[in-house]
Amino acid sequence: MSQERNISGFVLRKLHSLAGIIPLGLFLAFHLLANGAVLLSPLHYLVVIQTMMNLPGLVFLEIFIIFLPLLLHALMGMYIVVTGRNNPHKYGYFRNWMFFFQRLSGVIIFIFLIWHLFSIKFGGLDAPSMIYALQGQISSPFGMILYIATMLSVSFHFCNGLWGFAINWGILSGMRAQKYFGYICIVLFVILAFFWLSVMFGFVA
Amino acid sequence: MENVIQLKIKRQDSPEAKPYWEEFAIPYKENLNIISLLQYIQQNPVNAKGETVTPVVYESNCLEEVCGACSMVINGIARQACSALVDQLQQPITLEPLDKFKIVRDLMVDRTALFEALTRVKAWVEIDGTYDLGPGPKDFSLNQEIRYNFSRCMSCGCCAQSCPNYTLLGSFLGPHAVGQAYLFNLHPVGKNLASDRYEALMNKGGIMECGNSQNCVRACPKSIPLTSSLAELKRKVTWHAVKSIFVK
Ligand code: SF4
Ligand code: SF4
Ligand code: FES
Repeated sequence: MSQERNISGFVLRKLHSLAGIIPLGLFLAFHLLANGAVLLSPLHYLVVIQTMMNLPGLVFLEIFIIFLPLLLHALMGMYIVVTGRNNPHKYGYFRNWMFFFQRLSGVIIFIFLIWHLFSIKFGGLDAPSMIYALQGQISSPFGMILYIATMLSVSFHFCNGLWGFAINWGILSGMRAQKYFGYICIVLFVILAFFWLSVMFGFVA
Repeated sequence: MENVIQLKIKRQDSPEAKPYWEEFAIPYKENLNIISLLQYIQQNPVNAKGETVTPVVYESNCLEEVCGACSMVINGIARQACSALVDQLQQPITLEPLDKFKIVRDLMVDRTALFEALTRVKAWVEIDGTYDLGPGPKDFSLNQEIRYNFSRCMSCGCCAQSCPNYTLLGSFLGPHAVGQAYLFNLHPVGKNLASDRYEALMNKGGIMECGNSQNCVRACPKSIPLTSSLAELKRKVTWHAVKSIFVK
């Protein structure tokens, strides 16, 4: 009964879990901080964006730290979504709901990112027009809903993903440890969601 | 109490046939379990409309929740029919086959996949040889206690049924196989095959198919700490994978 060795699925899933934290989680934190400058003043925001746009080796960083890991994480994630069979309506346990929301938030972020990347990132905008474009998007009713949903999704997906990462890499194996780390992740979610939403409303204020 | 028990059963005449629901009304008695209802139908195969039908096919064996043969989906949740007491269930009681396995007929499914998964992870202690190996090594009671928990697995399939990542067409071994790999890796002789088991858990359908929904541990009628074994083995298999890059 010996099977042919095929560990590509194993490696891809491990990398999927890792990529969500390093580098994507770090990028997320960075993205939040950079955009957070808007809470100080639009001018601060402009300075930060301008500085970043002039960063040496920016394209290299973007490709290797953001796009490739993001592509892996997103495609693998979608594969996981379509091959699974969610059942929280039958097995309505807390963790099963979290499992379901992890997939739902992933899909929301996926849709959002396609829009966000093509309209803002590759929109050929300079820093000042970026503010206007973001303002325009956020203040339309549809945009507002999608933005709020995404800010919550991103915060949730990261925090719950952190919990999953800790298990997938065998850092937390005891049931008690997993439970308490779950609580920590909830607190982290509340904090992150608060900041993301403040930044988002910072653009329209 | 009502004087009839309302029962709805999802039936299927053959593996390829279309499933359909059939209702039964069974005279109430105290302390019945689901198997007693199915036995009643065997003797009186008459549905709620009064039509004579073929008796409902199901499997059972031990009648004391140790063999796992009678697992089915009762009111939406996978469990053993022999230990599901009618007096504790909401009516109408619905019975469905475990749909993560090939359906043979009515409530009877083919659980071969569960046993195949056990052979993939070599869930046994290898003692075959050309000469008498003598008595096995002694084991500490602390280790025995941990092993005892996992040894109660009856391959019933409730964990697999509840697992969002265990599907009929997918290749995932299932939570029970991970628990059994863990059990035999703790055994003083069984652990000789530990690296074979890590290999199986790394292979297609292996341990990383698990997405930590933790349904399995809640669904297991034997309260086996499956999620701990999943996380422990995720770590061990990672080490094994890293090590195999350098030593192979
Ligand atoms: S914890 Fe893993 S193995 Fe258990 S039910 Fe969830 S996905 Fe399946
Ligand atoms: S681990 Fe529990 S639920 Fe799964 S097959 Fe074994 S006894 Fe059944
Ligand atoms: S008949 Fe053995 S578990 Fe129910």
